[in-house]
Amino acid sequence: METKSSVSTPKMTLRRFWLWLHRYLGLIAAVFLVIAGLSGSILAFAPDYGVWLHPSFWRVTPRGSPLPEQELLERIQRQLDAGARVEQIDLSDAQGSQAFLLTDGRTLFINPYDGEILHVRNGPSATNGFLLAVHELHVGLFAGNIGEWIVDGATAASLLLVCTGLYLWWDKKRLNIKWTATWRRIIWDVHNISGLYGFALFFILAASGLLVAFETPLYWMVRSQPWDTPALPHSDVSQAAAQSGHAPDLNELMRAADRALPGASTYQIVLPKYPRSAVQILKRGPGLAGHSTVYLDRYTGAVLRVDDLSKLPRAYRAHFINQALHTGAILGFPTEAILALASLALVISALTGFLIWWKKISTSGSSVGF
Amino acid sequence: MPSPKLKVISVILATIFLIPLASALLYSAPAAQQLQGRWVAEVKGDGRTFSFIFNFKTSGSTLTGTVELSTRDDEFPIKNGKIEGNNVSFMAFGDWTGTLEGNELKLTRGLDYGKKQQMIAHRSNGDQK
Repeated sequence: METKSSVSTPKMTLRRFWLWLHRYLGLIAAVFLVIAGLSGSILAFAPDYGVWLHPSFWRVTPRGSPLPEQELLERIQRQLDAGARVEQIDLSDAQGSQAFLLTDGRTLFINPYDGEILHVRNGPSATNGFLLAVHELHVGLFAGNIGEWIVDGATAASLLLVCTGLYLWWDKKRLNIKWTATWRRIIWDVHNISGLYGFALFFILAASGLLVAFETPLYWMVRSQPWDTPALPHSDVSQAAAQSGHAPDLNELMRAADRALPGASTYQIVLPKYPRSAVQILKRGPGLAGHSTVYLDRYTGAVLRVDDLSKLPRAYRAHFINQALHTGAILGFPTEAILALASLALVISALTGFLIWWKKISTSGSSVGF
Repeated sequence: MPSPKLKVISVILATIFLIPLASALLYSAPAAQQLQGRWVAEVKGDGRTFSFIFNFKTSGSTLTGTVELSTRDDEFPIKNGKIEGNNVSFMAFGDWTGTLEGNELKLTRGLDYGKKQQMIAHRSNGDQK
């Protein structure tokens, strides 16, 4: 007995240290992790709320082929007041409407199959405003730079918590919840199970969140420096008069962009704001995250520059991949749902951890784990 | 000929209003002269570096001009621009305050919810980003 005790003492001491660290780090970080988890689960579906809340003007029924973009643009321009013009077009999939953003702050939702204006939104949407506020809570607790530091600290703490939690779980290796046991034991089991099954996702969320806040380690990991973005290219204004009446239309510009960057789908067109401005055509990828941009001369249609994501510095690409890992944007709804569930599991872990401490289960009941 | 009383009043008024005004103008003049022109501050973030470009125009203690971003096709006009000694403040795509220290303009950009972004601008002559 004496021999056994002396042998197990070092292990117990180490375990107690990790337990102490896990308990008090968790207690300090709990409230922030609950806020981060709840807000994160809301933000995970940010791209979908528009469609869910307003399907009548976000979704359309496909009928044949969509009208050419130039025709849609001309139809819209004809209906606008003097002074207002289209500055950006957000494209969608075959079942989606197109959003035409105007210089006067309005957004027109257009059926691309017949050009019908489905909805006019004046100014920013309430949903976007709400999501911006939730995002601000998520990253900074509405408390400026101090709030950001607190969130970053809690995120770093959560990395330690998942690792120490796994170490502490290892002794008992409980894999399910004993629903017939006392509520204290159930809370204990829920804490264990949510932490265990969420381990990998918690780790991804925390690590990617930290790398969003501090990108320098990301640059080091991919052995690359940030992309030194060149100045925006400009259209050749001297061609404005020469090309008057012969300037390429939007369809021609889109075809030129497709030739410059074949295979990538266009999701946004930024129309020129000033005489010198270029037309910007944004395309998804290549790859699961990020975008590429083709800049075209508005007067001649010449390709001024192609920012092909696959050829840009690794640090820039890694930024998009890391962000997509954190937001779940990689595969759309399925990955958003997985990360939203992981965020909620984080909330459950934090709350049950607090309850365990509150009732002093961890110190008084060896029967529930220690 | 103005009366002696009028002369005294003129001197008092000049002392009260003109001297402080002249002092303020003279005090801000060096900074104002130095600020005039194009300044560029490089910022790192989102996997890239980009620049804020400040095109300052000064008139006494008033600062006007534009702020541009190298990544956006926009020009934000400077509003409420003020120069007080070596300190500047203005609004353009954020609330800015800054201090001119030698050849550097140390700027703080105030954003929503009390967030602050800091950067150092240097004078630029070329058509860089």
